[in-house]
Amino acid sequence: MHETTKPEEDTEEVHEKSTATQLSTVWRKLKASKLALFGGGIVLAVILTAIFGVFLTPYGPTDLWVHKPLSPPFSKAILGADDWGRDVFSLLVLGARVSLYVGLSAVLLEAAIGLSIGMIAGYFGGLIDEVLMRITDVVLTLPTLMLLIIAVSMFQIRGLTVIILVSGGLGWPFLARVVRSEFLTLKESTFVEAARSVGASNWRIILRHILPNAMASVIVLLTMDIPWYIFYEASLTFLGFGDPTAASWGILMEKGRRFLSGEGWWIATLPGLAILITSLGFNLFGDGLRDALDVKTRAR
Amino acid sequence: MTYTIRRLIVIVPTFFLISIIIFTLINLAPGDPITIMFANNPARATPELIEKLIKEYGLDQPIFVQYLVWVGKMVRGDFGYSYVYNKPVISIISIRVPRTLELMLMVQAVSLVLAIILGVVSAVKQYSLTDALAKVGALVGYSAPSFWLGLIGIIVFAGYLKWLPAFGTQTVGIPYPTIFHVWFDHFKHLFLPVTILSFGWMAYLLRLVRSSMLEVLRSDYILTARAKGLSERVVIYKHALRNALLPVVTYEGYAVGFLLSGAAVIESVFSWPGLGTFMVEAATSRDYPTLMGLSMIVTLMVLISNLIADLSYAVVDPRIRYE
Repeated sequence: MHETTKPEEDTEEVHEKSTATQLSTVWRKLKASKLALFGGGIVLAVILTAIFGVFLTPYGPTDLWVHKPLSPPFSKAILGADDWGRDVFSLLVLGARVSLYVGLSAVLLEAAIGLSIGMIAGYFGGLIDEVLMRITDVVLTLPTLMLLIIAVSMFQIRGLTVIILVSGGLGWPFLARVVRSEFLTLKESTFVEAARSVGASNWRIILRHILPNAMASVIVLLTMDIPWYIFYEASLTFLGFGDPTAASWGILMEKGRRFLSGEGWWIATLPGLAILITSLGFNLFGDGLRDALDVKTRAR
Repeated sequence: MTYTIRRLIVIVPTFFLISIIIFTLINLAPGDPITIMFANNPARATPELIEKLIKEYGLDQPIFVQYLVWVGKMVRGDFGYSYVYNKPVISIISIRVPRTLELMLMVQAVSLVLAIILGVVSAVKQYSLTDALAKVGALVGYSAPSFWLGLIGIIVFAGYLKWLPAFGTQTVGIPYPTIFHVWFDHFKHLFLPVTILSFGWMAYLLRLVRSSMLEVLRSDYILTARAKGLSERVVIYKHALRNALLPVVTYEGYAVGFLLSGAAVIESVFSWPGLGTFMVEAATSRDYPTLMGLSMIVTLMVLISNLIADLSYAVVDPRIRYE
């Protein structure tokens, strides 16, 4: 008995080691790319702002008339004030949390749906695959933002949860396709055959053997999808379907629309700049990750 | 030929699948349509009137009967009646569709031409200044929210410089001596929305052209072509580009979805009276018959353009023979 368990432990150890070396290779490659590091830095800064921003801002979103209404940037208010005299800098810092919350939650939902559909379609194939991929193709080609507008407008409550559920619930098709194609190739490989020959169940093979090998493309794709959800939230909010109570960048842009000519141009433009910087960070970091992880699939 | 017919046949179940989804979604929505009709003046909602409207719209029928009635009408070209606009949906859509198509075709043309030129140059002269600039441009293009670029455009070119109009399709109340003045004025209205939408779409196409061009340039037949002593011009434009453009054709299948999504925001930033603004208006006023009709029109547009992309892919790539 002892003799049979021993080699298994050995292989397990070898596997661990190879994961560790793999990780260090990825890190080394990532470090070599200045753009990827720059992107990673932005992402880190946004995350820190989202977590600790509340403690740093001089004013809250409900602090009205703390400045002269519409005071320009670089006056007493560093980045100006809106028409209610709120501090734009504070609002921008607080907005990071909303955007990141929406981006991460929607991406998690996307991962849950996209992974399940992709894994099932790719592994089992046949009629299930046919049906699932037909649905996926349909959802993939429909104009997402238009669907989001219809779906969000049907709910009577306007809230971030609605936006997250609907955008994550519609954003999975590309991931599903990528996961499916990874599974199609991986399920033919020798290690899957080996696992099957020792009697591993389908789900064990899917989750323990194939999925870890498909994770690289999944991580890259999800990283680069986060900006999309931030866009969707901001766009929906800008069009008037957002959460009016959340201190989000989209709300500020919607408000700033009325002040485009002359006084108050900063109300709409600065939050947009914040979105641009955030999504630039995720895109650069994702690009670097793709190169470091040696992933061939293209993000949308 | 059989392939064309098979693709056409596949469209039918897809269309009905989507129609079921949209019908279910809209019927799941809280609040019945009659209440929403009178949302603005509840006083008008007498019980008799409500009774009459329920009969008229067939809301007392079982749900699948309602669905069949809706689909039956749609097949005959009746996309419902908008109670917010007080007009048949199709009559509003037929005015709005050309506006959006105009925008989308211009964007397609501009971004395709620019993406191909820039993509080829940056692939052929990899790591050159043009390559670096194209890379940065593409990066900003897909990282910047289009409606934000639209707002900046309005602030700079309409507000500050006063070169371009900020909204609409035509300036009203100014004299137009000739038809060319009308066209020129319309062109000025198109300029900002087209530029901004093209920027985003071009960013994707540019990356695609560049990477597929780089891949093709490394292949053996390019080496052969060069070894034959063909000029670099012929090698690049005749041998390499043709093959490098294949993935672009597949990608065009997503174009309508992408551009319609973009149009929804950009049209409303520039008050462009197209499908996008119409959809936002209908959604804001919860005008369900309009939303349902509009979704089906959009679905039809997407399905048809996918069909065209699929078929043209078979035409440009002779290796593909669909059995």
